[in-house]
Amino acid sequence: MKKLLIPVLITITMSLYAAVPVQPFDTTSVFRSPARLADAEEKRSFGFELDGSSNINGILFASDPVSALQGGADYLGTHLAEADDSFLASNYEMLSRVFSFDGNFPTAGRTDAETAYFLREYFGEGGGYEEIGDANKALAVADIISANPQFFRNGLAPSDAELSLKFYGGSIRNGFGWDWNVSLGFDGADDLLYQYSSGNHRYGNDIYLTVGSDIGYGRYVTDNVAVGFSVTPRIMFQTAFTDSDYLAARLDSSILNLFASNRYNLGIGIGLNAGIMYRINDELSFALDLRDVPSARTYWYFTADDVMNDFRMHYDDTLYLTPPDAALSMLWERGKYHVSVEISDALSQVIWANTVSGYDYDPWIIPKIGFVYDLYEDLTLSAKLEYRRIKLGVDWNNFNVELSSRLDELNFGIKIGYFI
Amino acid sequence: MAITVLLFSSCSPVTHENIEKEDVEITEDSSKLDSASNDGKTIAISFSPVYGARSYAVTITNQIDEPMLIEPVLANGIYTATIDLSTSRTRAASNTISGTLYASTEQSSVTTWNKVTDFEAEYTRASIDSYAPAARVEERTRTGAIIEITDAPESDMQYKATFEDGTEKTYSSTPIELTGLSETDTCQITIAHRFKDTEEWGAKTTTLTVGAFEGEQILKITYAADSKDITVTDIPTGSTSIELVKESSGRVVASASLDGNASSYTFKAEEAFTVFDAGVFKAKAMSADTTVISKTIDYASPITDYTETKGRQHYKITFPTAEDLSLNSDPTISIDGAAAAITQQGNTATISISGLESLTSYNATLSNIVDSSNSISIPLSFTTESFAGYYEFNDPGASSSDKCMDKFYVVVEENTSSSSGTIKYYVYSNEGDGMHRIMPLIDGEVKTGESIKYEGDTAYQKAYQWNNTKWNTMSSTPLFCPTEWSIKSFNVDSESYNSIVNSVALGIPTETLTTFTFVEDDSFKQSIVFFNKITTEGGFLDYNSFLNKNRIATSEDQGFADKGDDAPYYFRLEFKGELSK
Repeated sequence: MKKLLIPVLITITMSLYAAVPVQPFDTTSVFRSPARLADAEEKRSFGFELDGSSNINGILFASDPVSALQGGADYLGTHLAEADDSFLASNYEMLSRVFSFDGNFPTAGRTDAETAYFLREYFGEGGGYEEIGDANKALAVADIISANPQFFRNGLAPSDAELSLKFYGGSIRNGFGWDWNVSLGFDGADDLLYQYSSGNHRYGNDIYLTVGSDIGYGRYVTDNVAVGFSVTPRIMFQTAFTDSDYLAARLDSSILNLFASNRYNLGIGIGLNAGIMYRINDELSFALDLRDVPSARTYWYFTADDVMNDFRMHYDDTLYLTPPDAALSMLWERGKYHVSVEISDALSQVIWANTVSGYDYDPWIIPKIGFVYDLYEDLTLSAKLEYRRIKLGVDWNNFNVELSSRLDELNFGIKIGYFI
Repeated sequence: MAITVLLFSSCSPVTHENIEKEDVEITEDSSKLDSASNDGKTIAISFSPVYGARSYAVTITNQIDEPMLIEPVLANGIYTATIDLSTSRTRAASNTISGTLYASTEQSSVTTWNKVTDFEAEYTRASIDSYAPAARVEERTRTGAIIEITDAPESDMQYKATFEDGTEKTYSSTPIELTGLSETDTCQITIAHRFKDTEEWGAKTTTLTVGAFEGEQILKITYAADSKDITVTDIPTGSTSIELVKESSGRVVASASLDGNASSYTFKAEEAFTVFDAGVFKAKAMSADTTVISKTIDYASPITDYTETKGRQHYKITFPTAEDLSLNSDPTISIDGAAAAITQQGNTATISISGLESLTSYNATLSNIVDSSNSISIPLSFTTESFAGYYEFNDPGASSSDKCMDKFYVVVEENTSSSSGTIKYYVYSNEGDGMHRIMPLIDGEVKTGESIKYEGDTAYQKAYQWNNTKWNTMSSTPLFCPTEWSIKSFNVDSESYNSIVNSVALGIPTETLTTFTFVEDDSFKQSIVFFNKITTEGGFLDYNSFLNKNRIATSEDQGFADKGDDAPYYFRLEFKGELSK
């Protein structure tokens, strides 16, 4: 019997134990308010968008991983200098292997108490650990978390790096809209040294490739009321990897380490959206949309060995559902000014909170506000507030740039796009 | 993605920089002498470890001229070594022993020793009045007896034997040979001792009973340290039986028939002895008209290594019993505040003690055990184990649609601070967002009844926020989120930790009763029973079912049916493993 799961909706919040497949559905396109297709006219033969965001430590990790792991390195020394005899003695073998580059790493004592003493001497104030250099410390941090995912505590190396490249094209005309899109992306974990109490490694990072389409139709059924629906089929390919693999990849400057998990997911999914719009006048309209009613996807997974053996694939036997959502939006336009306000992600969070424990309900992602000003015919300025980010954009001819920042932490993003 | 590839590939890999081993220089005064003591025969020194040292040695003035390797034991950051001096050394009334401590970075085959520190220890001989001579009757001959002093004979001691008629005799060496007894004579003698350089005899004496002659002491008796079997050799030809006898009571512990030709026999420890057998034993070999005996030996039965199972609230020992030793039908065990039971089954007996508390030392006495006609007591001393570890609520058989049944982890750590007397444990949540101490929420940080803001970054505020998010169904909705809270009460009742927290949400005062009870069943399986219930003061609505996420459907009974209406608010968390550091 298939299991039914409602996984995480928003990738910036939770991570789950297993290599959960990536969320493929775009939350911001007009296909999510399909009744508005009745008013839209657009054609983009081909376009691309490069979108990246990261907090400071995530950027630092990419440019200077040794400095990014400084917190972990300091914690390593302090923690071992204060550890008790049994812990040090039982981990001596692992530590001596990790620190084998240091000729001054202490030899084992005659007893566990002696071994522990020598280790505390080494990691304590004035000991040899202080002299091994930051690079050696960073490598030691990576080696130790690989051997013992529970060693470090959370928050020592916060990160949140995401990068994606998307190609797309599409057209909306006479209420009928369609597009195609291909996204290649990287989604990093929010903490490089995260630990589970169970001791398992966390597959908090993934590289994904998504190929999909949006097809929708909207039309006026009265002078003021329009209805619409859209469907979004997707094919997803993904490989997830652990924080340990991520550390090793960057420190080794080897992309191959990211594929060390040796497990790949291939999925198909489809989502349905429906909506109704009421246009008060030429300037003002309201829309009520039901999104992801339903949206589901399922996966097969395989390893490198499976590829070599007639490309054998295993079925996940799980149907992943995206929690349905209801969205109420307002759009006001007068001349050069365009203002949109949307209330959404309230119902989906309530559903999610009632499904899993530990979900952190976030009221700040419910309201979305957008402001667009047509400075010139070919130059548009925009300001948006959504998902705890403020975004400032410039659209000039077919070129667009958007800078964003989170409101609650130092996390910056940039998106660059071009279409023809 | 391409940028990521380019970034990873274009940056230089971070590689290890090998570090050469540095020579460590050991200098004088690189260790601090902690203490030095001298009891006349040995000197014990304690010192702080020398950085980089792997071997230590000492010289002793006028005793050991070249550095002699020592094997100090490290405990609590201090090395302690005992140097055994000549056993023939005479213990003068007082003296001073001095020496030098050396250290080397070499771990074996040391060629270079570096002086670390000098040491000196004074010795003042203990008063002879503080202990009695350890004397025993080694052998009863046809005309006398041989008295052995069982601690190491000292060349600086003298002994005085006082007989029943008051006569005294002084001996300057051991063993003491008594003469002038007939085969049937029995007598008592009192042994006193003194140092040769003093005139006063010690106040404490040892009284020995010399019994009648039982036989020539021609049997040799030994025991194997590993198996603890007792072997008797030199059995005369013609002996038809052999016995092992407890000296104090005369009880025959074990016996066997001999075929007349056996020259040796081994009493197997597990066949001959019970847990109660410890003391002095001797062997007797009998033929039709003669009896020969062996010397006595001190013996502690290996069965004293009984099987012990220590739990947190239970304690059990199982030991075998000799067939000819039956327990009193009413053996008793006394231990405060706990229930104890003794059961016999076949050739074993089991003491089961329940109702204990974890991390507590107990002294118990097992009494009224029968040894022939003598009732004896066995003391037991143990400390119960700890509940520290990881615990998980996980009921895979529950409906997956009921989110209340999701996994729930806690970490229990022992309270090592001295500030909270009765609080043995701290309980932390551990669900991926860091650990929060959820029991007790407050431990001296604020006063009972003092109002605490819901928002805040103190550890106890974070813990309460976690609690609210976890158990309050509408915690995400600002209206139903408490703005303030306070501890109404917290108490520890044996192994049950109980707290009542007051808060106000939507103008409705609520009271949350939370209990963590540490339990261990008869099979020593530990778990935590968790109870959490929200009640409202006044009002006509029961907000508990609305607010309380851990409300389990009554059909999902975890064995709390006896709790009645409160049953749905109980969880049982199972022990998953020890804590790792």
